[in-house]
Amino acid sequence: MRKIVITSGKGGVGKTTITANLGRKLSADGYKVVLVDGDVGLNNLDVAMGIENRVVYDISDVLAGRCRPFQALALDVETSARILPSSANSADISAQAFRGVVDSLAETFDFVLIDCPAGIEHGFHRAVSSADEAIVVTTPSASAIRDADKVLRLLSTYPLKDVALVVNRTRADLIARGEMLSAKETANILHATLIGIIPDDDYITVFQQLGKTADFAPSKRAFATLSRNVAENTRDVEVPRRRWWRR
Amino acid sequence: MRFKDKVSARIRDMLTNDKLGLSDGFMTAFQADVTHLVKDYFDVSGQIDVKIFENEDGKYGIKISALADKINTFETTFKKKF
Repeated sequence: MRKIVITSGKGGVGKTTITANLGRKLSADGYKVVLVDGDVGLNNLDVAMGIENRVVYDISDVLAGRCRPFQALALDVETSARILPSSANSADISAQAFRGVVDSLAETFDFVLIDCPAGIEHGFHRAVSSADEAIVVTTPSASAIRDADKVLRLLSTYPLKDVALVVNRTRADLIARGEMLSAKETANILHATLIGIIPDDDYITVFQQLGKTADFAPSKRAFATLSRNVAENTRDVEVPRRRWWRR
Repeated sequence: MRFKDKVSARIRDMLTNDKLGLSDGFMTAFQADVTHLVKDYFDVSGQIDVKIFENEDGKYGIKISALADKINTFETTFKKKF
């Protein structure tokens, strides 16, 4: 029922990773979740979820009438979450058609998570205009914060119920040494509501190459907090502890 | 100033410039106008520093700082001579 777009403006800040992990956690918590790859043309959600070999149909097939929306959904390898992939053929999809598919999925699922493309062009508009809520992902770097600020300003022109911020790849050791902005400082600069703090985690990088999530990853707890905040509309963020094994 | 405070100040300046659409031309013109105005009132020594920044609460601050050797005296109204 809830349609949430995960966006950032800047590429490479972790939108797809956060979409995948948030979707998996919500699904593991018992919610019915579908992840929609809004990054058409440069689609990677299927790879992040480890289902690239299971894709039979994608969103362009749905819109062309070659299959029904539910036939195009692929099952996640770890949870009961479903994924609606896109392909290079999907690049010309209109915002209205995309919204139609998202709305039809929202009737059945508790959460529709839309992985937004980088940039603020047509793909951004297509993904954002299909959603009711937005999660902006940034890292504590100057360039990512600048792009997040532009995206937040753009989002204010859409009729969204809620816009929240996730700060990804924080390093507690650098923050403690005063060499990196904390997530709260980043949110303060952006005047945004912080909903999640995801620590920099090598296990995400390593396991995502296999399309999997590491059960023992230090970021697991952070994703659990993010998932709880999204599901329950709370804003309790937990600052990740310093990693003693890597200085 | 700590490293992250420098970064924070830099980002805030950057975002302010983005929001205001502040170009180099804008700042040059604004600084020239402010300098012209301030020099009417003060005998300014050195450069007049003009800075626009964003506060914690999202409001914009305009900071003009300069050193002056003296305050110019002038009369704002004509004295009638009878």
